Amino acid sequence: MGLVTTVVLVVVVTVAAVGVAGYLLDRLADTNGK
Amino acid sequence: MDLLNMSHDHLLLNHVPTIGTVIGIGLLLLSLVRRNDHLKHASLEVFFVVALLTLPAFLTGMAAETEIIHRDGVNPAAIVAHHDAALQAFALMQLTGAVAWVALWLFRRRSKAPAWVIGATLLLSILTLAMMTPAATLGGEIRHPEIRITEDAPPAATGWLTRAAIQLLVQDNRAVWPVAETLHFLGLCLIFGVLSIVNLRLLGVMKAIPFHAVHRLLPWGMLGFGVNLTTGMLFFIAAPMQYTTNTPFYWKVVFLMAAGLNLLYVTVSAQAWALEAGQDTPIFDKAVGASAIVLWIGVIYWGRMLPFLGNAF
Amino acid sequence: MTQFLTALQESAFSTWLRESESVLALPTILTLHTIGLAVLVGPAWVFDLRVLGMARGIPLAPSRTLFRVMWMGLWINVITGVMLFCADAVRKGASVPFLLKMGFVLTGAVTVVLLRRHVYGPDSAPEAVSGTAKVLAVVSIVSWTAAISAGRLLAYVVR
Repeated sequence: MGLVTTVVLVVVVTVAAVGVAGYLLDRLADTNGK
Repeated sequence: MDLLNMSHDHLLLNHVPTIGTVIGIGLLLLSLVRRNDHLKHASLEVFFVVALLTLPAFLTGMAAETEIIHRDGVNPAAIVAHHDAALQAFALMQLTGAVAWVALWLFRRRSKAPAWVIGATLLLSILTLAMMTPAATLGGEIRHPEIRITEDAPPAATGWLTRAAIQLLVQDNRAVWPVAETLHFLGLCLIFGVLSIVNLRLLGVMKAIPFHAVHRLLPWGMLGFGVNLTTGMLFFIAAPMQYTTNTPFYWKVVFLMAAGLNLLYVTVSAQAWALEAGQDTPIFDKAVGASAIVLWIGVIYWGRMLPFLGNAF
Repeated sequence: MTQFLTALQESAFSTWLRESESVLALPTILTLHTIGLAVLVGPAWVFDLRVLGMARGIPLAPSRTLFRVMWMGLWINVITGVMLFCADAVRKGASVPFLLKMGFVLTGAVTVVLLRRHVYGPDSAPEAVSGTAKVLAVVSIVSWTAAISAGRLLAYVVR
């Protein structure tokens, strides 16, 4: 797998994972938080 | 006492992840028995600070290795076994610190931490202690023949979270380093972005935003930090000599520690939390805000300057 | 074109930047470029996250100040970027990866301007976020991610 393809793949997966985790934590703040 | 002696620094710092974890667990258990939220909160703060300081504890260990590996009576295989065990314990310690931070964040937002987060923190901290103990014992065996059970070299740790495995990964896959660098830059933007809005509010900019609103963004900053801690450790373990002999790297770690304490403050501070829309910030919190920006720019500065200042790569 | 780029590269300033042993030359410009990107992309992503519904307690009206911070970051990087380009103008000017990076930067910048207009324009409801704004926020996240990735990869891919 080429260098660029690998970078793109890993970056996309990481951004997605961070996005999901961040979203879940934001939801956690929601329950009777502010 | 020579603080520039890495072996000495390591021997000083390694008390933190070991004894510190025990103290944290003790406090947490006591808080559950006594049903005392103050003790519980304190134990979470202990876990966070211990996790923070475990980083320089590990880094100085690698640096100490180069100082002592050729000395008489030192068993090089013991060093390898020790640092691999320590790496695994380090990973668990950081997980414990991260979950403890989430608990502290929720504690601030809801005046209490949900039971499941506390449970997770307790479980992780006990697992951490279970891994710290053999790591510490192996460390002792490097220079204490009186505690060695046999004269044989301790077995090398196996698995993917060892120095050998990581160095092999980087060697065999030329994409690993560029990927890690890219993620490191992306992570720093996320950290800096979240901390910008938080600290600008503390400085009195965008005063119409209540602090509790920006406080809600903090987990995104922590996620960025997680990415950068992971990629940073990859760089360090793959090529430790580039960093252990490099003064700017130590400055980066020092700045990181200070930034970490700063982050703890904005997570738990009652004074900052109380800042409503339009309210003026007390001078102390303004100072916290200003110092955070200086510290994080410093972290970027030292990091970027690594190849140029000190020993070149 | 090559003549112009060569002239840029051979200029006194570019030569100094490229060949000086001083820490104030290339290292400092590179570091400022990194700081600039953090100052630009960080707040951009924070604004994007808010538009996408994260941290809903943050009122949109005062958040407009974030664009001033982004603007500062953009200027730092335009200036340092031009300097870095000049030091290596002939190669960079012909480099597809570099042009790709500039494409992503341009897309990001345009998206940010459009986003600001969409959220704070005269036709937009106060403290409300339209569907278009959300799409722009996603484009912004992707563009800046691509720009930074391309920028980092330049060190490995530039011919």
